[in-house]
Amino acid sequence: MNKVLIVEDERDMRDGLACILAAEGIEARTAADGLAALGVLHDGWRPDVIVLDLMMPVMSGTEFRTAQLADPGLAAIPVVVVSGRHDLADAAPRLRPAAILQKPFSMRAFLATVVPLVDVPAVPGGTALDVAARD
Amino acid sequence: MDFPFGEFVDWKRVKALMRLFYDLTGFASTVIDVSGAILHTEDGEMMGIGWQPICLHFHRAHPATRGNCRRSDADMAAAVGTGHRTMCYHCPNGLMDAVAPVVVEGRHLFNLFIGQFLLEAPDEDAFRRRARRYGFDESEYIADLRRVPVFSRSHVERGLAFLELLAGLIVEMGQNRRRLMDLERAKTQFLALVSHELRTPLQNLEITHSLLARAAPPDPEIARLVAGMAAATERMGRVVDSILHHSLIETGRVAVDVAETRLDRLAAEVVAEMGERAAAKGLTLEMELPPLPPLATDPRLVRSALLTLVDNAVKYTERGRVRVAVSRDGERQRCVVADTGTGIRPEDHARIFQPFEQGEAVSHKHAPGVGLGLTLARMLAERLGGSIELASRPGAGSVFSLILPQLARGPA
Repeated sequence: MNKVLIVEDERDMRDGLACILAAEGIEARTAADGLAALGVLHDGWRPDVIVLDLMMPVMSGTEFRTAQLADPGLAAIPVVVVSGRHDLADAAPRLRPAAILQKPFSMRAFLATVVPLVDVPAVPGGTALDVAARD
Repeated sequence: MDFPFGEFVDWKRVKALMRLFYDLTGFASTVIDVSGAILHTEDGEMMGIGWQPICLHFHRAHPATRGNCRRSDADMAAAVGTGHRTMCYHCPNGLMDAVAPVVVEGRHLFNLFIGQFLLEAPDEDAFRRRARRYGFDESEYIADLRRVPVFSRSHVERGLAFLELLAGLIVEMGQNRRRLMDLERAKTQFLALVSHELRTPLQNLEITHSLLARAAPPDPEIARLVAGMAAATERMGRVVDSILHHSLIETGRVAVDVAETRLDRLAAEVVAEMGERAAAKGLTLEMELPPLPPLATDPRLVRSALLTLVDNAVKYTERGRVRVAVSRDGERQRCVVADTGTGIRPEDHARIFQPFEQGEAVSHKHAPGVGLGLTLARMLAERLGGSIELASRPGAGSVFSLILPQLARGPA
């Protein structure tokens, strides 16, 4: 296992986060909006955790989360909400996320949040925590 | 114009002014909207002072004569229109009234009335005939008529001039208050928007420098530049955060979650967090943190305020030490952050808590920031029912004391 789905409309951000996770030996797939993310999930790819932006075109993070929770096959996948919304602390808890990260968050905080939610194997060149400590 | 102008006017003070005006001049007065309804203060008091018994007991009490009063109110309201003009007229019930319109942005909203007076001694026979026509008690009616004041034309003209000035002031008062509220709202929205729009690019920078650092560039110069990028990104992030927090606290949107809080442990955490930065400047961080009983307050907000105080102390102290101490202060608890920095002139003590201000002798090169830290810390302390005290003078360092009370359980 150890797979993460990154749902984020900013391309540089989702690709960058995927690179960061890849360096930890975590397989990351990306989706540019909630609808694309549902497509990935419905194709049968099952991540350990979903990193979810809130404000996205086509289908927002909130809409995605509602659809995910309504689908018994997907509802159990934990979600880490990442957003720059100024009212994030008020808005996010309704989505019952495993964690909330307010942008801009450090990669140290990102890994410290996401890595414990996935199955962590030994990574060549050190463990995830070593990498985080170098940060 | 689509705003409830009346809500922006302090009608209680207008009424107090009208009461004094009555005491000094004998003019009865009221404020009536364009539909003829009498305005009320926010406490539900009627905006009317010094009304004549003849109007209260007879003219406005009897259906037929009340119709006269209403008609004349409406006629006058229509006649003054939007011309910013005052006017004086005979009411159909035999008295005189005068009116000044309140016109805001071309819309006629209210009328200030003075009235229920006479310009010459009344023809009592005519009033007796009116009493008989409407079935009034004639002797009581005439007794009330004799109470109606008779004013000279110049007295009435000056009364009208006063009304016109007052109407102008009411318009200005309401417009200024509304402008202020619009500005406040625009500022808050602007700050929230700016901070949001800065967060996304900052996140990209954070990810990029993190990837660059991981790529382990062999060239030490490039490694140094990447580290500089990390520091710059972090600094910008803190500025954006403080702007956002300021707008959230200012609009009262910061919730207080009361929990058992150990101030000594919180202070120790904050000191640990700041240790690296203090060491980098060659400063000693001293602690005096005896165990304290739990305090009912919001640990997250206390921590944020405390972090600001210690961060500031480190930022503004070039050599020496920063000392953090906690103690009991009766039912309250106190956390003191003392430094050996340049100190603050007494005349600047109030100013440095104002948003976007910093101490005068501070060079921005040495102390980057937008000057919101202390404002935020004080707002947080006040949100928690506490305060921040400052003792400082130039050359003697500064002592900031965060004083926190026990809060009741549940949301404040």
